[in-house]
Amino acid sequence: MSQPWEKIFNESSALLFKGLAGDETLNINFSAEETTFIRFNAGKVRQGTEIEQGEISLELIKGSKKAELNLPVSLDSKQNEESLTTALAHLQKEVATLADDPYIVHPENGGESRTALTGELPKASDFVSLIKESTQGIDLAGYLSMGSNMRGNANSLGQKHWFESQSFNFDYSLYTAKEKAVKGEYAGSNFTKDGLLASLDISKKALSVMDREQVELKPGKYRVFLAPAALNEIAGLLGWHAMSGGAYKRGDCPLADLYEGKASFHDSITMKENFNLGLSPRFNEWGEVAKETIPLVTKGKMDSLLVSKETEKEYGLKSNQASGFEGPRALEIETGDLKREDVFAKLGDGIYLSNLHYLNWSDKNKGRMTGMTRFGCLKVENGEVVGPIKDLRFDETLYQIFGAAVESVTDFSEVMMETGTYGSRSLGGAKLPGLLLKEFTFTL
Amino acid sequence: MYRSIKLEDFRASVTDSLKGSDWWGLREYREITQFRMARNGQISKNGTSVDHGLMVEVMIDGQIGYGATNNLSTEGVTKAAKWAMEMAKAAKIYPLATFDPSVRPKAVGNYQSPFAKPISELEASLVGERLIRTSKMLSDDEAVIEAGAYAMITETQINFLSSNGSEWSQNFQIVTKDMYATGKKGEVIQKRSLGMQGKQWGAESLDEETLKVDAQRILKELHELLNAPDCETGAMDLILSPDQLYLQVHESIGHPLELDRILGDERNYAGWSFVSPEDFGKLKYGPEILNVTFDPTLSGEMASYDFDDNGVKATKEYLIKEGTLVAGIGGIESQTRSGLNGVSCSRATSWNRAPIDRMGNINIEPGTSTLNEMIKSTEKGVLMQTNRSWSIDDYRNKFQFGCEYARVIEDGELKGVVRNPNYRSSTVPFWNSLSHVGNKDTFEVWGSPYCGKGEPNQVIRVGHAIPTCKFQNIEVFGGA
Repeated sequence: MSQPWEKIFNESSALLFKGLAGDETLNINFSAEETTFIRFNAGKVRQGTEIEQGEISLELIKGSKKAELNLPVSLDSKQNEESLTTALAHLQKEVATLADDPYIVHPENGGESRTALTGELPKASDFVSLIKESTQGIDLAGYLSMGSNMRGNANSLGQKHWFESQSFNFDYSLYTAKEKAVKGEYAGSNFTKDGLLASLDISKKALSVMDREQVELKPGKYRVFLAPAALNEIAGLLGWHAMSGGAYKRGDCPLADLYEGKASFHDSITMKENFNLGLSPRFNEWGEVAKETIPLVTKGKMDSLLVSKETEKEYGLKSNQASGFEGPRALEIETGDLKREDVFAKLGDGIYLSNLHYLNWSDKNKGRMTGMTRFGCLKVENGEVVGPIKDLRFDETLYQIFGAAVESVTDFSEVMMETGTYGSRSLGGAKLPGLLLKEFTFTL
Repeated sequence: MYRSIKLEDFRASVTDSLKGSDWWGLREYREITQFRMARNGQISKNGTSVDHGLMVEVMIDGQIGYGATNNLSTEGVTKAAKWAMEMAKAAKIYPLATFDPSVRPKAVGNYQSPFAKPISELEASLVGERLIRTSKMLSDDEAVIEAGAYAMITETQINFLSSNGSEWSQNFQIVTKDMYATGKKGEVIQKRSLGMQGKQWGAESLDEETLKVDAQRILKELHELLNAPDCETGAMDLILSPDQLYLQVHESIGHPLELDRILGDERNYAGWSFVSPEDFGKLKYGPEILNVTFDPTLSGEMASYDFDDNGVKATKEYLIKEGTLVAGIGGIESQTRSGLNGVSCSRATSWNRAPIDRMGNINIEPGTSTLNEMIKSTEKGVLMQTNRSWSIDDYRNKFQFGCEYARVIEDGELKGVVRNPNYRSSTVPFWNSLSHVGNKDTFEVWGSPYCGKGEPNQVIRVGHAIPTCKFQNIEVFGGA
């Protein structure tokens, strides 16, 4: 599927390495995509866009100086040759004028790797026809993103890694006339009509519960069940400095107390990076290949923060091949023993939280966050659904959510792919269970 | 570092590829961004990012399709034109709305953002030296564990050509800067920053003396925070400085007034809105002293421009006039779909995304109160500055904000500093609790390059010019 882009990556790398002076090294990161986006509102097409784009990122090191440049590349080799030659000359001129950088990570030759994951994707027009047939009378909003996604890394010492995948992600929500909603997602590599219809069918059934009368709850503490999609929002915030070695050293790490052993999570909480999920490349922007699994928290105790080569160089923490951002790229939280069929009974009186929204730290250094309930969150009494709740704001610490408040962890988990498309389609995701919490604080 | 192209050179091949279409347009977007940063007196980042590509839009039987490429050869653009046609045909199978070419009016002209000194004066080494010195000033203090300063220097050009005679070009020079220091005293860790300052300006943005004065103030206020008690909890009056209030306006006025949200396009991602079409002309958003405008004409504000990406001429319009909601933030397509009043605000983040309704410059018009009058009229309250945390629900009702720095107000006098100040409320009651709008002396221009929404996702630059304002009886609280 992507031979043309792999060829562009290879010939661009060769051209650039050929232009280096003897005392220069170059690290290259490459990304490209061929993507179809179709956006829906009221089940109908709002906008459709077809995109082809490539980008190459250059990191030129000369002694103790470093300069970086990102620029577009396309499937036109002649255009690329002109722009890459100009770009390298610009970097070589600029790097000489810059101040010394004491924490430069010098490239190493970490070998070669190649991963290619193929898939079956529908034609855009066929997908629209399917949606038209299957959502008559249903209010659906969302979008399909699908196509090929490529990543590469190479350096002038001979290292080379290539990753490509074909995938689709139909991220959608269904609405009742009273503006209550359920969230759905059909994603993967091999699209089938039956798979799409099954996903829509599950969502339609869930939507029927949302027709019940809305329940307005007062702020306060409630028992809650965090479904995997809700936990995924919290996991997203873990990537915002909570597990970063550099952030810890800079006084900006919400889980500093956990790392220092001053606090712990519940002993049923075990977290790790698991690249076996196949959701993202194992290599980072320096081409370092991470171990297949990296333990982060085991039975409530932190094993390690995510530490990049840059942080190792600056602060002396040992690198575990994290990316420069030092957030989880393939987080997995291990399952427990709460069975799916027991979730509502064990929740008893409380709130079933299917999704959360717009999380942010409210006291970052204490691991405290705020956010909103969203989509089909339900009031449950005596293990039975009463109805959808009016949205509530919560304010709670990670130490409660993963610590003192944990009652049980589900024996099932769900893989959730990263759905971000800022600039280009993201890779990555997480595999997460549900959590039953004894109490959770709502404030507004 | 750009490949030089002329849109006119593609006219013949695109016309041929899109024969029979109602309308077509070509939008070239090229941008160079330099990101330079220093930490603790050392350089830490010298990065340049070049973005250059082209979007073909075509309308066929009232459906608009989009094809985008950064292959800027005739072959590449022709391929993008064919993709756009396929997308328009796919939309026709089950369309949400049907348009006619009036949603792409003919537009001709040029825009150049204002500057006092050319941005070309900001050479890499010069910027690096200034940032190193600033971060060193901030880090040369035994309480400071981390300090930094950065500048993001962006030059953007958008060129547009269409089948109905549009030919316009807009050039923007934008600098966004910030600096910060994190300090520790015992178990207390606090961070004080400039707040992200982004405007359309030139090399004057990184004036060395201004950087020095800002760094001195930040360091002084960091020490105040490290020695301050936690913010008190309770209902009290709240005075918000422009460096916090601009985000309050962004989240609780800007986003809920976006017509594409009200029409439901954003429900699956950014969210819906508590505002319904029936609210226009009726909803009392705030008291009569509240006047909110969409103003793309304010010189130097981050999202000032002459045309939106649909080619609609940009003009200043009231969104909230004397407290009443009068217009939405919706471009010509949303206006056509909803029948509501809107503004020229249909914009795309780059060449690879379709235009959607975006905020632009959303401003509060200055009032008549001085800051001193606001303080004097406060029996018990707090004055908060510089955003550090924000969260709001998908209907844009229930929000919570945290700030970096605050001063207590008691019996009409400004008292001591408090740390970890937060407040929460709901949108319409909050704006109706507005008691004072600051005069021109309190009016400041702020902006952010990071407003996100859309499927596929788009981040875009927005501006907010805001006076200091006072709100009564708001729920305020401190840290964990």
